[in-house]
Amino acid sequence: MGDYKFAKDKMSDVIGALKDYQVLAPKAVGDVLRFGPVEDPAQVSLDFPNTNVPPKELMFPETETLFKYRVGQTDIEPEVPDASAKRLIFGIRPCDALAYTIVDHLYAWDYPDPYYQKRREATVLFGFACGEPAANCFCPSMGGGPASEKGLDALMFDVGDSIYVKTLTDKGEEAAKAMGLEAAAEGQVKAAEAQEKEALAKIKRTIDTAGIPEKLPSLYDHPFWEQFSDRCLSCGICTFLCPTCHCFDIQDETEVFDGRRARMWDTCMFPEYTLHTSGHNPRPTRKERTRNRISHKYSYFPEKFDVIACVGCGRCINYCPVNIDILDILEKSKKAEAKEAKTA
Amino acid sequence: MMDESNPYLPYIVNIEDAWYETPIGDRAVKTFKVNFADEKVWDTWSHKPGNCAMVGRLGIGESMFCISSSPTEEGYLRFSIMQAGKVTSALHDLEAGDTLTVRGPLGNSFPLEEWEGKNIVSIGGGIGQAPLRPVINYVRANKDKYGKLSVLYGARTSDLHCFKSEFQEYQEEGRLHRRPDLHHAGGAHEVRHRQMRPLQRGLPVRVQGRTGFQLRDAEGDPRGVRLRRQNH
Repeated sequence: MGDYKFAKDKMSDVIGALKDYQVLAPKAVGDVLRFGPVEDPAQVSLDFPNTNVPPKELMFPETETLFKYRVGQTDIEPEVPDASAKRLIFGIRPCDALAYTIVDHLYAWDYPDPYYQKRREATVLFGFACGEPAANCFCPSMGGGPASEKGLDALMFDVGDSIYVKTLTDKGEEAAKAMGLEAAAEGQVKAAEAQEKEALAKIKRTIDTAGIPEKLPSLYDHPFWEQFSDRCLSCGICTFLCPTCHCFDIQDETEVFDGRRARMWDTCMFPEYTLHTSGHNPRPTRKERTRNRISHKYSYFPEKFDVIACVGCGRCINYCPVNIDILDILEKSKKAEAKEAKTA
Repeated sequence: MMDESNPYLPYIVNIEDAWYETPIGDRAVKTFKVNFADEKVWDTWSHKPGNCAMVGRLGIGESMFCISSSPTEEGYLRFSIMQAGKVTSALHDLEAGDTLTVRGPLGNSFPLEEWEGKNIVSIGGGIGQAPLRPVINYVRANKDKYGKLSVLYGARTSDLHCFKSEFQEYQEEGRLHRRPDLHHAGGAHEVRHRQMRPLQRGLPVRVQGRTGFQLRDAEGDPRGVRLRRQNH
């Protein structure tokens, strides 16, 4: 596809030119950085390591209405997103775009999910390569990288005074045209390549995942989980801020006569997640819940969809209040002595 | 089949009949016989014994229940639901003439095609019989495809015996080998050797099902066959 550029001080013009798109970019909400609709293009800044909240909320919001109804009546009014309303995510990091390609499997499996799929279809992903990966990034170990193109429609690089834009799909090319971008110079393409190499060298954390999906089930009853779960607070931040965690619950909400059935993020780190009405809980302690979180990402999901449900963004490590480190768990799982294999 | 374009949208069903299987009170079991408000749904609806569905009430919520009627019972669906929590309590408040939401069919099902030509033994207890009822009725409606059908059932007390009148029918058809052990002697999950004997000839030695019970072979074991709860 094409090589383009725009001057950094023209960024608001470039975003402003996207008349046919709803543009979503990182913005500070209090002290939390998350993606949201751009109200003033002049306020958009690409000066960020990564958002606190992953952009998964743009495809499956924390709470979303499935349908509405009037209490006491039986007419159901679906609230399905409009696939023709084009959106563009400006500045998504490669790891978060890779996460969409993983979650896509789940929402396309068995019963395709129109809410997720229509948003995905309507959205163009303008990625932003990482020049300065953070301390807990390990994307190369998960098949990504600071300038990974997977899942993206275009990839932007910060090359000094300007942003170099490499389009990767027709959707990306179309948006680049709408932005009115100029052709990039040879020097900018070279600078981007050099930056990718440098960024890659800055990533210090790694994990060799070979054998982990096959081994984890054999550690089902292993006491090694307790050394992590003992200090877990069951706060759920590791799952809420994980770009691939996708579990939800469905609840009815009513306000006088206005009713809606909505779904909202749920987390396997809460005891209520598996609590049966009878009072029985198959995952009664933090040990079983920690085991499930890791095993789902690194064993059950790859068993079903042939891809590990982790992109190495490091959020679960960065935001855990008690420093539970997924790489530490995985390294220890490799050393733990396997017992009799059991399934979940 | 469910609305292919949006699996979250439920069907509205009318309750044609509703009755209690067990004495009214906490943890009572109530059966709902329902029909789609839009009868055209039957043109595309197809379920298999063992499938489940999300059953709910608008404004309250939905939960998962097995469909307790066989696809061979035409023109209605049945759900037998124990009162236990928020949704089930709200469902129990409903009577004939009220409406429910149903989303499904969901989940997997019993491999009835693989079982063709074989003897079928149904072993259930309490309201755990609900997912087995469609199997039993499917086999009864397709007699020529299966061998002998045997029904074993246990309940904590005779009051908690679900689908009682249907057991009368099984007995008349000669399918019920023995009434379940209703005398607490060996505990809820034990069936005595004496009662099991007629079934031991030609019986699969180990039956594993979704009910969470295992039937162990009694061969060489003087204590006889025991039904044991699986440890999770």
